[in-house]
Amino acid sequence: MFSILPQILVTGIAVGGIYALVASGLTVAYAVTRHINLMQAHFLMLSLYLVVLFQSIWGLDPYVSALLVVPILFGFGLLVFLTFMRGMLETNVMTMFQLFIGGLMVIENAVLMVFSTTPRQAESVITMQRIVLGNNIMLPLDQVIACLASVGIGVGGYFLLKSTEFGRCVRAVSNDAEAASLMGIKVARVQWMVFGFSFVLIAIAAVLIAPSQWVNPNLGGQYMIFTFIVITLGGFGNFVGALLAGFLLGILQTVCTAIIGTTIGLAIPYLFFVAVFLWRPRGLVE
Amino acid sequence: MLGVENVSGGYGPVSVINGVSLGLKEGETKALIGANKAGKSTIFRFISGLLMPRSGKITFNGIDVTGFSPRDMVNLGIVLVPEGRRLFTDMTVLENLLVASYFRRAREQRTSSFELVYDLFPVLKMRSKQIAATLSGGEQQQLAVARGLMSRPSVLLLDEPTIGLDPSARRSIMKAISELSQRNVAVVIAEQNMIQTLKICSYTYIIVDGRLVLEGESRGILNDFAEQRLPHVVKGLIS
Repeated sequence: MFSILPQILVTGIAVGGIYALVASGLTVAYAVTRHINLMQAHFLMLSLYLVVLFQSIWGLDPYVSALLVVPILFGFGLLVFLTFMRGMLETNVMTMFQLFIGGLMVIENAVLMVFSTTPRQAESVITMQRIVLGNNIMLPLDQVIACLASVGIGVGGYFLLKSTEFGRCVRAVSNDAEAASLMGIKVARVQWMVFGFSFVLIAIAAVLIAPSQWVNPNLGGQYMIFTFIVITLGGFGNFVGALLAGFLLGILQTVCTAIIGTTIGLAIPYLFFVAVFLWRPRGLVE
Repeated sequence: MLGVENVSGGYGPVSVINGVSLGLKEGETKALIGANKAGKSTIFRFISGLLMPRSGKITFNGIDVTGFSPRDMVNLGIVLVPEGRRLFTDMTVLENLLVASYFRRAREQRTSSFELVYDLFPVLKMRSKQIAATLSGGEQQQLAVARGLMSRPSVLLLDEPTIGLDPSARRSIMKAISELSQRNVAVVIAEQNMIQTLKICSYTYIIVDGRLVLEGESRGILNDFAEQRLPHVVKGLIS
């Protein structure tokens, strides 16, 4: 048991890192627009299909395809913001909710039409490669990369928000957009940049999980549920909270699944979620 | 410098302001007195670019700036300190001040801006690392005014800067505001019923139900008040 513990932890951090990346993008976009992009996880699924597509057309390794997937997703983010959201930021939450539901149905069905229900996976040159530590600790290389990258991006994102002029502007808009405009901040620009950035995080997450993740059109729905748990647990609009909750739930899910099996192990994060809310109704980080 | 010429407008179909005109020269301090809901904040929203007037004109240094965005107004040097402070409460005192000097013109003068605001409000320097939400009401109001000053305004619009403050905090805010004219910052203070406000302002506009009903030298209005010569509709506003 103890010999596989490092591997379980690395897998947990890698899985949690993916949740953290998707959820932190979602939560920071929520912070500046006050609307939850329900399509976030569906764009993760779409990104994975792009990775598969670029491999089948040009034979690109998933990590190399990041050079295309990241800018394409940033473009999608801008498109969604400019067409869906910009003119409707003041609308009520339910109207936007319905629009997003419509949007994610379009994405899911479009993917279904083009790629069918057959699960697909992109292979990387590092698929199945392991890093061996000591005598019997073997860590999958793709998971080590996902683990390091997500931690690095999380820490980088935190310092970006905390210590840079732009990060302070994002937090000011998140606090009070009208007051921020009175400080000379271009609120609309901050909103579209953050929204685009949240899609960049989706693209990076997709590239990181691509070597080990089979993708099918339903994958968006599965990730959506877990992403919502993460942002709720982290405290809505809280970047650090989303990062912490993502890593925590990923580790919890992996450890519980490994120790007590998938039947009940997968339910533990949900039980944890309920327990936290009984204890701290505003989430882990206020 | 700043001109508001026969401005009318409001929110959607509701008209709040009807034909109001104001003027402000460099370094002047003027008062805009009116009861709650008289339209003081709406006039400030027109001037700061948050709201477009239905008719009339706003000029700054001879240029028609009607309908300019809040950012353009701040860039020109017209800064609003809104009612209720509207601080970035999750951020520290220092971060609030830094955010207000984000755009290029203010950023270039950041060092001297910090000297100015710490000189006027020394307590903010001591509390620079404290989260804004944890300051007292008086300190929060000081931060709100200081944040406005970090944008290096030539016109500072203060919407009810002393509302809800105890007399001591009110005096300290008024003292700081009265010093601004010596630093070439023109100020318009919107207040409800403050003799104290009139004492630090050279000129006063009195607004009732969105219309200007009286204007003149503050000293003259105070004299008229003392000698009970003010119109009945205005008398209740000064106490």
